[in-house]
Amino acid sequence: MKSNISILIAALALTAVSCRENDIVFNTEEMDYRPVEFAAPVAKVHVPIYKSMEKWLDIDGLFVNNEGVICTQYTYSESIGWNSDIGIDDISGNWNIALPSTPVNISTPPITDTISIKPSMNENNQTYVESAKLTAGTIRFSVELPSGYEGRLTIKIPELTRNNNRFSINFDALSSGTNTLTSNLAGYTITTAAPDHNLNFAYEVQLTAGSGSASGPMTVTYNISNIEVDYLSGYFGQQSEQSESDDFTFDVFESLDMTGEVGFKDITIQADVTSNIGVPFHISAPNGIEMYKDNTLVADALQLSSKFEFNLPAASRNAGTGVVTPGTCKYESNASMEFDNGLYPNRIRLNVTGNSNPDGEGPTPNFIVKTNNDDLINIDLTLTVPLHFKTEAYNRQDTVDFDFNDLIDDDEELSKSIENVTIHLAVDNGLPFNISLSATAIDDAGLPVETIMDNERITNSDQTQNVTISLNQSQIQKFRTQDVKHVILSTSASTSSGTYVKVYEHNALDIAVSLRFKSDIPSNIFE
Amino acid sequence: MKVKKISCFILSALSGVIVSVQAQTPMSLYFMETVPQISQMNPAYQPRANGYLSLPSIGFDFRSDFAVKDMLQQQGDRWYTPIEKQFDYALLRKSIGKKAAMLNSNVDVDIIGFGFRTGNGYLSFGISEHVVVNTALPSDLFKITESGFPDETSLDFSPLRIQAVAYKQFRIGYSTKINDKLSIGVNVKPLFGQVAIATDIRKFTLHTGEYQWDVYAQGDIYSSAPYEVTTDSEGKIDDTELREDLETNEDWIRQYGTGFNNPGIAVDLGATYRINERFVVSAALNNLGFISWKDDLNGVAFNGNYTFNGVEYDVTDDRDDLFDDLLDSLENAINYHVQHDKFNTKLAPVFYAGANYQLTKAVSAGLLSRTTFWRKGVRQNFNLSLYLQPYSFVALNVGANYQVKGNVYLGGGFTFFFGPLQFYFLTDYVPVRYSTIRIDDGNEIGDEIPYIPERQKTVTFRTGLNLIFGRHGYVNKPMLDRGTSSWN
Repeated sequence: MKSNISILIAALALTAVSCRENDIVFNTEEMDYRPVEFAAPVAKVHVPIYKSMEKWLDIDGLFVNNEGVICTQYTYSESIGWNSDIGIDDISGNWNIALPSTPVNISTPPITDTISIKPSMNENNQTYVESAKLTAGTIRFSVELPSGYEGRLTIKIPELTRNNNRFSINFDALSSGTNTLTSNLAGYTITTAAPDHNLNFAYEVQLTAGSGSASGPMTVTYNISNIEVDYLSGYFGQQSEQSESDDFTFDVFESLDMTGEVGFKDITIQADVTSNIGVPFHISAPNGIEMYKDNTLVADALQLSSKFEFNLPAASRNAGTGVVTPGTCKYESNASMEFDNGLYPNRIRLNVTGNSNPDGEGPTPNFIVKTNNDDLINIDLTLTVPLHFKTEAYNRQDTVDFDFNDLIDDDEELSKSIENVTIHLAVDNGLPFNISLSATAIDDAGLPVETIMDNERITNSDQTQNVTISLNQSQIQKFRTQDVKHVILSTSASTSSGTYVKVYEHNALDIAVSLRFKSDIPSNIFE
Repeated sequence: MKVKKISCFILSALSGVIVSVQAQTPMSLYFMETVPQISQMNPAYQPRANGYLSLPSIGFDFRSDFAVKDMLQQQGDRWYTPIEKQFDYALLRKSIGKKAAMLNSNVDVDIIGFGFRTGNGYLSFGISEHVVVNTALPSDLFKITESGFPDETSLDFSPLRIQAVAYKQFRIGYSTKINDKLSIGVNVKPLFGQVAIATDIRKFTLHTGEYQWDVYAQGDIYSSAPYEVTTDSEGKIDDTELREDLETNEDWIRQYGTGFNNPGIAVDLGATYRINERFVVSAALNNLGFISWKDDLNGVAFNGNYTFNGVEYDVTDDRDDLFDDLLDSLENAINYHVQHDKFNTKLAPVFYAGANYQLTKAVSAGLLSRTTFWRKGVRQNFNLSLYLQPYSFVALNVGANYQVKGNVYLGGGFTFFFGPLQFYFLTDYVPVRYSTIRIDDGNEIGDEIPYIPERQKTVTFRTGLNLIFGRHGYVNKPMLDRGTSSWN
C-alpha cells in the first residue's frame, strides 16, 4: 500500500510539474525584416497601330484600304447655287395706240395689233425663255385714255397660258383717264416659239367717242413683276457663279506634334459632281485646292497630278414624267504633300467656279427646276491620305494617371521597404518607323519628379530590343514624398532619313513587361 | 455470385483514388483495462466490467510536424520570427522535413455504446462520429517567406494535400478466450461517409523567372458534399450552390444524421497472449477499411502545363481590371474538367504491439508500439507507462510518449468511479512547458498570450463517461485482493 502511494505521489509530482519558460517577446520596431525578391512577367502589351489611332487620335475618317494601308479620308461637300441667278427679269414697257379723231362707235372695226416682247434673264441679252412655269408674278396694265373716249380693251398674250387657256385681260369699261387692271400670273406657263421666243401682246380696242374727241394716243403701260418660276427652260447664257462655302477642317496634323520635314505620298482626290440643272458647266478651281494653317496659306502644299477643272454635262428631263436625270462627272487626281518649314495645314479651301454653257448655246435648251434646291451644283470632294509618309520627328505626348501613393495605399513603411525595382521591356517594334521613348513622373501640378526613361531608342527591326528601367530606394521615396500623380509618356517617331514608309493595319508594337524587385517584408504585416 | 460481388467490392475499394484518413486515440488508453473503450484499440481486450453503457465521449487529436518554437527562434536573448533576417530556415526545415509539414487533426465523438460478457466472449457495440482533417504543407511553401519569388527558382508544391472527411461509424466487436493464454477479438465497423474532400496531387511545381513562370499541375480533387456544380459549355465551373432539397434542419438530419450513404467497412483484429501470470503481450491491427463515396460527387481533374509570360493586354481594349484578366488567364490556362467520379478514402491502418508486466497487484508497467501506415510514409510512436490502480474506483496511467523524429512527451490518464458512473480522461501529450508570447509595438506593450506550449507538436486527449456494471468482475485477472497473493 505504502509503495503504491509512493509511486502515485511520484507520478503526480511528475505530472504536476509545470515548467514555465521565459516569455517570448517581440518588438515590431526592432525587427529587421527579411529581404525577399520577386521576379515575374507582368504583361504582354500589344499596341496595334490602327486601333490605337482610332482610339486616341482625334482623326476623322480612319480606314484601311485594299492594300491594307491605314488611310484617313476626308469628305467635303461644296455647292454652287443658281437659285438666285436664274429667273425671269421684270418686264415692263408701254405702247401707244393711235386713236381716230372722228367720232367712233361700237360698230367701228376694233383696232388690233401685236406687241412683241422678249423676256430676258439675268439682264443677259443672250438668254431667252422657251418655257417657264410661273409660281408667282403679277401683270399690271394701265391704260391712259384721252378724254372723250370710252370703250373696251382686250389684251391677250397667247404665250401665257393656264390650263390651256390663254391669258386675256379685259378693260370692259374704259373711261377717260387712267384705267388699271392687275392680274395674278401664278399657275401660268410661258411658252415661247422659236426663233424669237417673244411674248406677243395682242390687243383689240373697241372705242366710242363723241365729237371733238381729243387727239392723242391711248397709252398702255404694262408691267410684269415679281416673277417666280418653278420650271424654266430656254437659254441661260454664259454666266459664272462661285461657291460660297467655308473652309474645311483638315485635322491630320492637328493632334500630332510634328517637327521638321514631313511628307505624304499617294494621296488621292476625288470629286463627284452632280447637278440637276439642265445646263452644261465648266467647273474649275482657279486657285486649286489650297491648304491653310489657320489664316496662313501653306503655299504649294498639295501637289495635284491633274488640275482641278472639268466639264459637267447638263441634266436631262423626261418631258412626259418630268423626272430629271442628273448630270454627273468625276474628277480624280493623285497628290502628295510635303512640308519642311514646320507649317502644317489644318484647313482646306476650295473655291470653285461654275461657268454655264461654256461652249455657248447648244441644240438642247437649258432648263432648271427650282423647287427642293434642285438648282444646285453639288461637289462631293473626297481626300484620302494613306499613311505613306516620311517624318523627321513625329512627337506625341500622353499623360498616364499614376498615383503612386494610392498604389501603395499611402504606406510609408511599404515604400521604405522596397530596395530597388527593375522593369524590363522587351520590345518588338513591328512599326515601320523608329521610336524614341521618354517617361517622366510628375506631380499634380505638372512639375517633374523623376525621369523614368530618357530617350530610349527603339528602331524598326526584326529583333527584340531591350529597355531596362531601374529605380532605387531614394527614387522610390521621391515618388512618395513628392506625390507622383502622373507619368508623361513622350514618344517620338521618325522614318529613316528621306525614306517613305507605309503603315499597315497589322503593324503593331509588342512589349513584354517584366518586373523584378527586392524588398524587405513590410513592417506593417502585423496590422 | 456473392463471392463475385464481394470481390468486386474489394477491387473497387482498392482502385480509384486512395487517400488516407486516420483518427488517433491516446496510447495511454491501451492499458486502461477499466475503461471499456480499450476494446477499440485491441478488440481482443475484454473490459473488466461485466457490462457497460458508454455515454457520449469526445476525443481530439492534433498533430503537427512543427511546434511554435520551430517558428520562433531564440538567439541569445532575442526571439526571431520567420519574417526576420536572423531567422534560420535550415533549422525550420529540419523540423518540418524535406518534403512537407503535416498538420492533422481529428475529432471523434462516441455517441453511444454498450457491451456485455457472454460466456467466454465479450460483445460490444458502439456508434460514433468522426471528423478527420489532414493537411500537408509543402516545405517549399516556406521558401516564399524565406526569399520570395526570385529569378530562376523552382518550387515543388506536389506534397500539398488537403483531406477532410466526416463519417459515421458503427462498431460490432467480439472478443473470445481461445485458451488460458490466448484471446482474440475482432471489431467489424460499417462506415457511412457524410462529407469528404480530398486532393490527390501528383505533381504541382512552379518555376519562377523574370520573363516566364512555369506551372505544372496534375492531380484530382474529389468531394462528396451537398452542393451542385454547374458547368459552362467548355466544362469549366460556372456556379456552385447548396443542394436545394436541404432547406430545413430535418432535411440535414435526414441526409447526414440518419442517412446511410457512402458505405464503407473497416475491421480491427487483435490478440493477447499471456506468457505467464505477470506478463502479457498483445497485438492489434486496426482500421483495415475504406469508405466508398458515391453520392453528391463533384470534383475536378486537372492536368496542365502552363507558362505565364504576362497578362495579354491590348491597349485598345476596354479593360477595367488587369487582375481579373490575370485570374481569367490562370483559370483558362490550367486544363481541368469537372468530374463526378466515385472515389475511396482508406483508413490508415494502425498496428499496435504491446507488452504489459504486472509489477504488483495495483501497478503494472507497459510498453506499447504504435505504427501508423500513412499513404506516403510511416509514423512510429512508443509509449512507456505505469498503470496504477490502488483502489477499484480509481486508476491512473502515467507515461512517456516518444514520437520518432519528434519529441518525448508526458502522457497519461485517470479514471474515477462514482458508483456505476465512470469518468475518464486520457492524454498522450501533456504540455509541461509553456511560455507567454507578447508582441510590443515600439513603446506600446502588446497583449499577452499566456500558456502557449511552444514546444508542443501534438495534443491528444479523450474524455467521456460510462456506466459500468459489475466492475469488479473480470475473466482474465483475479480481483484485487488484500489477501495473500504470490505477487506481493
